[in-house]
Amino acid sequence: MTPSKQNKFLELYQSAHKNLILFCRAITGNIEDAKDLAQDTILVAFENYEKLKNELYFKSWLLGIAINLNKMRLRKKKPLVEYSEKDIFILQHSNQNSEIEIDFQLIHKKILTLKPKTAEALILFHISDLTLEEIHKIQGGSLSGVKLRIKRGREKIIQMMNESPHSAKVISVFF
Amino acid sequence: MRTQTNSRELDTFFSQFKKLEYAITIYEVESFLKNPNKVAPKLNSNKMKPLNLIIMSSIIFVLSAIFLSVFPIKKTDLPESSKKLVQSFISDSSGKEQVNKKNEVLKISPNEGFVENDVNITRSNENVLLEKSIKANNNEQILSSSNHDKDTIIWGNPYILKLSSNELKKLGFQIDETGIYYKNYFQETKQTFHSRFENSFGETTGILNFEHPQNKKVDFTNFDFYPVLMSNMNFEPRTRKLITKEEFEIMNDTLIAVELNNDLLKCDCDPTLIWFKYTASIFDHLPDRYSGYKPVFEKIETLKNSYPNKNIIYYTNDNESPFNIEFIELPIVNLQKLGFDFSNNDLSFTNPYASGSFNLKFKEDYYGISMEVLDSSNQSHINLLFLSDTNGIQNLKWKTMFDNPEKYDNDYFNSLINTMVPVIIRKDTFPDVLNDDYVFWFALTEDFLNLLPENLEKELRQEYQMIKSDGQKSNHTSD
Repeated sequence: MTPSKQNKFLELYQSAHKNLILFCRAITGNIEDAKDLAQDTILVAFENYEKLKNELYFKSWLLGIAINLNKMRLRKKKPLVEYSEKDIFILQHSNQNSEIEIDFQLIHKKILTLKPKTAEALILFHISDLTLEEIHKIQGGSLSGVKLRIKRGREKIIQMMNESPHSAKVISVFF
Repeated sequence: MRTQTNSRELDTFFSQFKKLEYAITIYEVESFLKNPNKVAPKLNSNKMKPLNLIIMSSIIFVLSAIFLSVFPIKKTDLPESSKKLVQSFISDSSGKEQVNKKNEVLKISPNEGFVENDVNITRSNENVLLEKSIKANNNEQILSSSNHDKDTIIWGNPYILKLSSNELKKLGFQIDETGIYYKNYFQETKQTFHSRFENSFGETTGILNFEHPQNKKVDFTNFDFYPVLMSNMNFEPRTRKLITKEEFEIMNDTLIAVELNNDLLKCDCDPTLIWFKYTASIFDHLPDRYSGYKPVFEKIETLKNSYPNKNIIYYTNDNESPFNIEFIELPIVNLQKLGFDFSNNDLSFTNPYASGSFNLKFKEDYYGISMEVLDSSNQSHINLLFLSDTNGIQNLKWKTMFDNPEKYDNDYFNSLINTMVPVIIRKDTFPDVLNDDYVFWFALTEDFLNLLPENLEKELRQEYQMIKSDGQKSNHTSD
């Protein structure tokens, strides 16, 4: 790949960086696996970038690669939700809604117990901030199918939160 | 009302999550894209440059040639379990009881301290059972007493063939840049099996059935073995099946699986298993390293002919342990000696020998871990290695700087499974604190043994000695 194309890739990538990194962190559950998944995704995208026919779809294409790589990863390793002390600090101290005490890890775990496509749609929409059309491009099917998936995913999480009196909090883990 | 609160919590989760630290910054991405070898060597680990490949292959070839000339191999290399299995077929020691003490299951009642032995099937004594099945006149009785679901006695996963592209060609596969194909024409019954694996978009997955695009007149093979089924790695049949999933369950011990992995498929496709009808002649077309499998499959065939409705060989998904382990229940007094405390309406485990602190606590509405291990000196004392549910699933993991870097991998857990002691604490015992049965996996150490009830200590000590001597042997061998 020539330097100009490398720069072009970076230029396109910059606009999708946040979407990808947030997706990787949410879908893997922890920062180490997120880093691995993001690196693998970027490398695969970088090596195959010239095959991309329409740059307008770069973001969808990139997230599509991440989803496929994650599927391969899941065959070897189950998602492990793990927050560092720093994460917990950030989440608790930046929470504007301070009257609600939220078990972030519990919600995260429940999202990852959804059907893979539902969890992916929920994360792509609410965390990676992709549009419904972009998610539709990645997941295929119909646009209304994507909407329904997100709606039902939310409902299922809320239902699970109602049903589960037990939560599993990590008090603190030092590595 | 509660639903509304949960909905708000969910929205808060989504908004707060975006504030977490990024796994990689944009600067790191730029840096490793400009110099991938330096910053992200891991990303290039699967990509071998042709020159490197030639140099490494040459070195391996030369070293192998030297090694083989010094230590000629009379038998083909097999997995340890296969060696045992083959030996069990050809051995004459039919009258000897060879059930390994390591596989005896030990139970102890929390109340009475009563110990009983209950031989169960595990990976390393299945060969003994098979041997008995072959040699005993009453195979039915042994098969039905194996305690395995569906009467199975051999774990099939180690017998899945992993072949290079040249070795696949000898089996009748046609491989070129467009995909992988198979055609067979046996005794005028045409068994065509065209499968194309492609990667057209960089991340395409899936398997399509196509004619060879360039060479439609390619010769058919004429082997008496042929593929009857494709499945995924979870042993679920895929397209082009000539038998149903139900038939597959009962027939899979008459089949032999060949794995097509991503390197062969040259795409991000799901790895695939191609299941061949087993015949003796298939081994004429397989590399020598698999010749030891032949007597295994011959014996399976013999048993299968006698008991067509028995499923002799069984396969398990990666995430399902083939081990049928029973757990040890200890009296409360011994649990307390190990470091468990039940005094404050909770259940906690504190490692009494840790130089820093290690505290695992279960309360009514949460469980968690707090630790700060200052040095590794506790390794030789009481060492709680893993916490799992009764299916071996670990929902809470931990790792210190002194632990093996692969401690989070399930393969690492499985590799240690025969050397750890699984102590179960049941929900029924502490219904106010536990929401499930939990298994605490301890390293088998001298100090651990000393804290057990006498009977159990005696039994486990024999196992401990075996593990120690195995360790010493392997160390000695590796030296």
